[in-house]
Amino acid sequence: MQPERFRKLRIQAPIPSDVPLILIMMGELPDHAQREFERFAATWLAPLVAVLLRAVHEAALAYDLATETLAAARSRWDPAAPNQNDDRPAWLIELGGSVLAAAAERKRVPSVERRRRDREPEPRTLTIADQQELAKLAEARLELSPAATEAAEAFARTAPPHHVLGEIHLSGLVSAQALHDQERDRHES
Amino acid sequence: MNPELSPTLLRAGLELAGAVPPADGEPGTAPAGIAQPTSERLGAHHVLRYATGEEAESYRRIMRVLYIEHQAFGLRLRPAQVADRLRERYARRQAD
Repeated sequence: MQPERFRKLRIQAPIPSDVPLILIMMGELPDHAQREFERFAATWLAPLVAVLLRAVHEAALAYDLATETLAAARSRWDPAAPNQNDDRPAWLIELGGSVLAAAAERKRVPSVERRRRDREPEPRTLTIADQQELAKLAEARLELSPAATEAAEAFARTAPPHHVLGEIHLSGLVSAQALHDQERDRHES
Repeated sequence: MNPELSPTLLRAGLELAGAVPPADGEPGTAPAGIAQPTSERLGAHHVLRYATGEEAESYRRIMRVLYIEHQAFGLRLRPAQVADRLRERYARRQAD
């Protein structure tokens, strides 16, 4: 039998015994958690854009904020948490509120969470059609849990005023094609 | 039922958020200060087997001779030189 002091040393030794934890610290998720997050993100991206759109009234800005929020959610995703699917959308909306507050403070949508990975994300330019599709989400009916509904209502109540929103620039990872660009493309083709 | 995005916008959003890998599969540009990931495989390696298996005592003596030579900035030793060092170092200790 090992003396007590040796057993303590063994426990404190820097042995990588928790691989999932180390992966999370590296910005990666274990396979099962990645699949779980992918399903969550695919289900809740559109409703999240809808909630953001009702506060910021601009499709590209809402999409930029929503993708940053999902990236933030990914880096905080806890695969060890019990099944909390009812509360996770509420948590996501609250996270969106923090991202919008940071954007309003810096006058630019943050991109730190999306740039956290080992490769630079591909920037996306939203066409006029993309923006129109996103804008329609503002009118869409949302089916949210009571907790998520409460979070969405709190989000709408505490959104920055129009003059502050007007000063927020896109992150650079999302940009919006302007109407005159579309007209120019049409003439060139 | 909650609204859904078109497959193109959904895919682009998920890629931006890191929820799915990029569709092209091409290696992207690493952000400044971050090295490109390596494909180096680091599987199991029986690097210390000489010190745990049979004849460990003899192998460890040989390794110790090589280590001491390395510490002294020595170059390579021929087998005969290794044998000399072993005799010199360990025979003398046994005599003590």
